[in-house]
Amino acid sequence: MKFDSLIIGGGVAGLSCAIRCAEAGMKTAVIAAGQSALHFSSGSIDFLSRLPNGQPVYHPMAAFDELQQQSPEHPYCKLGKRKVQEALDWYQEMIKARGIYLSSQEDEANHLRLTPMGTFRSTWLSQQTVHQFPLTNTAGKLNHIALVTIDGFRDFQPKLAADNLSKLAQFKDVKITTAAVELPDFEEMQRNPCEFRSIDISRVLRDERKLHAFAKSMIQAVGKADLVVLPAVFGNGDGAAVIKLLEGLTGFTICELPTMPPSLLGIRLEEAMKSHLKMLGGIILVGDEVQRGDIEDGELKRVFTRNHRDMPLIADNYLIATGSFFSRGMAAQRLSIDEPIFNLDTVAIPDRDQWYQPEFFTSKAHPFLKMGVICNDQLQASANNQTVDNLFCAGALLAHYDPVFEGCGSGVAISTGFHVAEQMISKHTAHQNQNNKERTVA
Amino acid sequence: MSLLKKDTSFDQCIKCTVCTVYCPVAKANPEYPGPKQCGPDGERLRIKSPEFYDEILKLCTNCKRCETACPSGVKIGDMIAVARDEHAKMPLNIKTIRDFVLSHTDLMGTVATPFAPIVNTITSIKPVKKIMHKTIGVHDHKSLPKYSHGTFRRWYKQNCTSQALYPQQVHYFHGCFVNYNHPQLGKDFVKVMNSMSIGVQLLDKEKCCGVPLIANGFFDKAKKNAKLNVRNFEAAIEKYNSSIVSTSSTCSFTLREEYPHVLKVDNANVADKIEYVTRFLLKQFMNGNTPKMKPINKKIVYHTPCHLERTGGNLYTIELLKMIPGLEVVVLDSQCCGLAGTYGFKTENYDTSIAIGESLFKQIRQSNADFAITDCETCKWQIEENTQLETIHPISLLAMAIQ
Repeated sequence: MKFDSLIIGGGVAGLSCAIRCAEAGMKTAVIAAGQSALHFSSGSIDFLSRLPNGQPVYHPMAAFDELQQQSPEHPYCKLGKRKVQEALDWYQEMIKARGIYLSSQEDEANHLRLTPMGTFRSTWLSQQTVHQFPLTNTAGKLNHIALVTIDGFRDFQPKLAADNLSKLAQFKDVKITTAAVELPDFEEMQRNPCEFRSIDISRVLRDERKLHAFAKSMIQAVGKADLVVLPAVFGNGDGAAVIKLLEGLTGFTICELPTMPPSLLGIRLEEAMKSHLKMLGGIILVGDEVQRGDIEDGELKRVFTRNHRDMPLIADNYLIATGSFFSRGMAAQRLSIDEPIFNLDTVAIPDRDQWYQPEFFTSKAHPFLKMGVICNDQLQASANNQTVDNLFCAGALLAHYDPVFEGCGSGVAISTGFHVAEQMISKHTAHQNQNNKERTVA
Repeated sequence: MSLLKKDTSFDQCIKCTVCTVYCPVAKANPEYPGPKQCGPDGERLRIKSPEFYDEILKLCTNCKRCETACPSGVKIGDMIAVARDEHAKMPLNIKTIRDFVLSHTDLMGTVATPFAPIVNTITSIKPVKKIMHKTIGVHDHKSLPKYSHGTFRRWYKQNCTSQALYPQQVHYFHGCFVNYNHPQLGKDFVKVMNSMSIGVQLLDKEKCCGVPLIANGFFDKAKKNAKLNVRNFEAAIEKYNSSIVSTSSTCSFTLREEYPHVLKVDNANVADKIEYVTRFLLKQFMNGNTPKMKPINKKIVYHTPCHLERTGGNLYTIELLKMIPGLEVVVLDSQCCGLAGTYGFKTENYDTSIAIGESLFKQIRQSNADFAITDCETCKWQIEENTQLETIHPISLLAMAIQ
């Protein structure tokens, strides 16, 4: 099977690259081993929340010079500010066409999103159903916030969140109340009390009759509030529309919080990207895994997958975007790390004691998150110190950045995926022009 | 068996519940706790005591979409099927008799085909349907598959006497559907193969692949069939060392994957030879053996069967369809049609089955297509019954294109 571009990995980086390639009319396939880490994500797009030295970032675009100083090998520095901006603009437009409106603050500053713990995390773009708390004057004009859950739902505890929130100086004059709303059919669902997750609730509330009943109980349970915060338990891909409906029914201003997995806010992004890719003619090979590939003379010739066995998948250009340790894109051995498919060159800290901080929850970065695959400025990978010209890398398997501490995971995924696609497109166009010329000569 | 030898892959489950998001049954039926609970969660308990086995596992359609979705590589569907094998009890009631009748496809086929016109008429009479609904629990909105008058094997014996003269040979596992219900698909297969100078050989003997038996809890019979089939595959390969091809996406999936993983029948000697037809064909095409095709100026919608997607075979079918000149191909969103073999025929599952398929039916009804195309015989029944659009196999479409 032959493709123009073959993308290994169905997460944000892989899908961004694939969509851009498919937009340019290239024959594109994505190999995805199971659903991506978006099912575990907030559904907001982090750009750059903190510099490597820990200094918080107000304007990500304005922090590039400082980032260059502190971390010259950071993927953003390989791409440059202009390219990163172009990629994020493109992503916003692309996803808007699928009904998801991602926005930043008007002055393009970072904003804070509320977590289920009642703490804040800085991010850059959020979906239309997420309330953006500004970095300064965070509480804004809010006088009364109601944190509301669904009775019996264990993945969001509003009392805990309210306690944490009320400890913040900015919220000392804000009234914070909590409520639990009963779900119609709650009795019936108790048959499987351990299966009461966001997705189960969303399935009940898809029934409009039940949503009406829920809205009624909600009005009674909540009373009055400037902002009602609910866990993301609405819709399966179409949650934003359900929330609009619920706002109409209750008269409240409602915003969502990401929950424990499955995170419906993250799934919304994934579904949007996947259906966009398919609409453009892209192919997704679901539940398959690349097992090996043949690299000859600095070129990846073909890859073999579990499902397609002896039938090689061949492409002009390849992207590896298999994620980090959690997504099994990287594997940790006792004293080393490796990239399991092609055994690409990696950067690792030799002394294992230095890989992580003694405590998991710490204000310091865990160094292992900066370990990963080495690439050049074109994001080409290398094996045995030899560059593989047609194998690019993007997203979480890249070395030299810390998506968690620096708050830049999705921004790096989108921009590196986009950058790789641009290079694939220009190689493809050059190749076609060459072919056309030869044909004319002949 | 010592604990170490037990399959402990459920330990890979991180409880993310992503499988449940993509489970068509959990989406449509709140009674079903979902694959995470029935698979890895339940397995932890069942390993301690079989008492923890829950009959609700019967609601699983074995579509394997949970495995396709799992980010951690847990074989959730296999786990549920094996648990049913080990623990499910078969109650002595009329529904067990129904399940027997529905699942023993080759036995019923052998009995019914000689009297096909009579059997077909009787099973489609309204009062008979009502009685079947009330007694054995076959839903009266469903039409039982029609039997063909005369089997594919008989047709082959009478009409395909010189297949061995072709320079290349392929073994054909026709399955119950082609043999008893729809010999035309087998005939189309022979036509397509012959047009590429490939002769078609039947196996000396073949039995139902076992998938309906697995679904209905007749595991011993399924294992017996599996062993017989594997023996016949080995003998066939001895004769001609070539591929064993099936025109059913589910039969080929079962023969290759379910034999070792669910039935624990060793097929290692033959597994690599078993291929779904579009994979076999595409390989031929890529090696330059392409039949001459005339344009088919029609619009088709393609529905991906669950088991084909699980093994990645939809890629080959879609590529193949795109190679037919003049054909407008629209690939539908991949989602379960809801029938899942014998599942949707049962009164207790009918509503779930229709709820699962509803958005697919809607998409097809709005498509204005000339045909729906799918690789699976039971998807075909479900789509035709609920959309009134003629649904045909990609090989039959290819046969139309071949002069």
